[in-house]
Amino acid sequence: MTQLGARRLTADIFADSHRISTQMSLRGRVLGDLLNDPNTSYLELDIAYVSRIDHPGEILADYSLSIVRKDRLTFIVVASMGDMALKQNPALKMGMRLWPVFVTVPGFEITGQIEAPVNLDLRTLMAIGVERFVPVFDAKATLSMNQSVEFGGELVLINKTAIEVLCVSSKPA
Amino acid sequence: MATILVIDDDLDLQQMLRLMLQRGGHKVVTTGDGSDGLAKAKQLHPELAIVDVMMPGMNGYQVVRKMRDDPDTANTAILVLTARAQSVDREAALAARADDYMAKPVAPNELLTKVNELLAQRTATQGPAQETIALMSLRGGVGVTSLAVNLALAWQAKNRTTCLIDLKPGPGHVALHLRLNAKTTWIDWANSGDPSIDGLANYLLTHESGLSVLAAPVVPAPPAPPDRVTKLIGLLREKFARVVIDMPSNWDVLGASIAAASDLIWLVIAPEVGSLQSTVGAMRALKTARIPDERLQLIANQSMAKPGLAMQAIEKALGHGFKGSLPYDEAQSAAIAQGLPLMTSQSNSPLAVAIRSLTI
Repeated sequence: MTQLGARRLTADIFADSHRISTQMSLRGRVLGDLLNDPNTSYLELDIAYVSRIDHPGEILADYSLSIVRKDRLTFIVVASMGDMALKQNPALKMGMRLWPVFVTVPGFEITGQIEAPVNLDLRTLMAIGVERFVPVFDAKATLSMNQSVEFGGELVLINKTAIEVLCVSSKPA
Repeated sequence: MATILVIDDDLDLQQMLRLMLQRGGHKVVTTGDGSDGLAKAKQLHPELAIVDVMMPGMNGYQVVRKMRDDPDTANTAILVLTARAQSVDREAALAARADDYMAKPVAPNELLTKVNELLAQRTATQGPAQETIALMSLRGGVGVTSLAVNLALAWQAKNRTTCLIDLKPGPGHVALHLRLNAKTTWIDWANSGDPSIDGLANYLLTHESGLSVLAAPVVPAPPAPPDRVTKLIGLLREKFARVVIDMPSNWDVLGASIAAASDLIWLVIAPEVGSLQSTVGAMRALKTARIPDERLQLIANQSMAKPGLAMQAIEKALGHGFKGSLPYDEAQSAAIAQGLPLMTSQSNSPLAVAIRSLTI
């Protein structure tokens, strides 16, 4: 049965001190492709609801036109990814496993699982090649200074340039 | 049936919610704008509002706070339905004084279950949903009083504490239909200057069914000031789950005050040209008085034995569908003459059955 409210992708974009909630009509593309598209440094938003990190539930204001510098955002939380967040390609999953991870980025610590080859190489994973954002599944981002503030989702896309520490459990999930 | 207000700027979602909730037996009003949602909540007194958060201009938290701060809407059950799906968002919704919170996307059956839970909670804490219905026609003889009497009896029989008011300066016939002695009338209360609900109780008559009745005088009296009429309806709303008003068949300041203070206006129309013309006039008068179209419902009453204009032709002429249609019932005239309404004396008659169906 069709879920109510599933036609637009809702994402929470986190920069150093702000949370930007947005709803996107992706016009056939997926969020991962937009973020990793090397032809543009920006992400344009149809509408943005701005909150401060220290009061993340409170909406300060909304704006109908906004643009985000992709290299300056820290991570993006997608609570319910459906088929609009990442391309589904079963062939690429061959030889891949889920690995539990712990990641720190400015202000937050993030836990979840990454999809990576059995013979995991962290240097390759962290290399900024085609993919600027690393997907972490079933993830939870916790505000380091106030652990009661958490943001969870089926997917968190972390900007590799914002990653300070990435730890992987030695056992696959 | 409950009235549910949906405030969400996603038009697809609005449409899906409307279909789903209507299938669940509810009346649904939608809007995509927070300010308009507040205005509609104030006008329609919905039992439940489903409020999105991410809306341009006035966001959902602001809508919820304003509804809670306004005595007219403070008691509406509020469900926040938002794509901001984090625990901090749930806390923000509850801090704004919403009753509950759900994150999108949501499965339709889960949402319907939550809606019914909230409506049941509201009924348990506040009693049955209150509704004031004014019945009118600007043409006499189309069966407004008969419908008002039988409708009020139908609700009373469903254990909804109901008051029927014959809000005419006189002469009124509600007491006659119920074989009651109109020893006290609403005009007496209006002239008494007593503002209290306890004082008003002294003017109410009680029918053997338990129905409370505020009669009109038999001899015409000078009309009461409009503010007394508004006060009267307000007091009765506090005391009764249902208030049914038999309105005068002329349109003046009194009629406009009654219409403005009522949740719904049922325009009764007989299938004949004179009634059709009067209904057009009544609809224009209500529009001029800024009564929202959502509060207007048409009832077709086949009050004559001979067939009249076709229903479809009337609907087309008025540009408005009917909420219900009442059949001709030859037992009706004897019921009026004897003071024994069909709803109590012949509750399985076609007319009684049709009127009862309007209370679902």
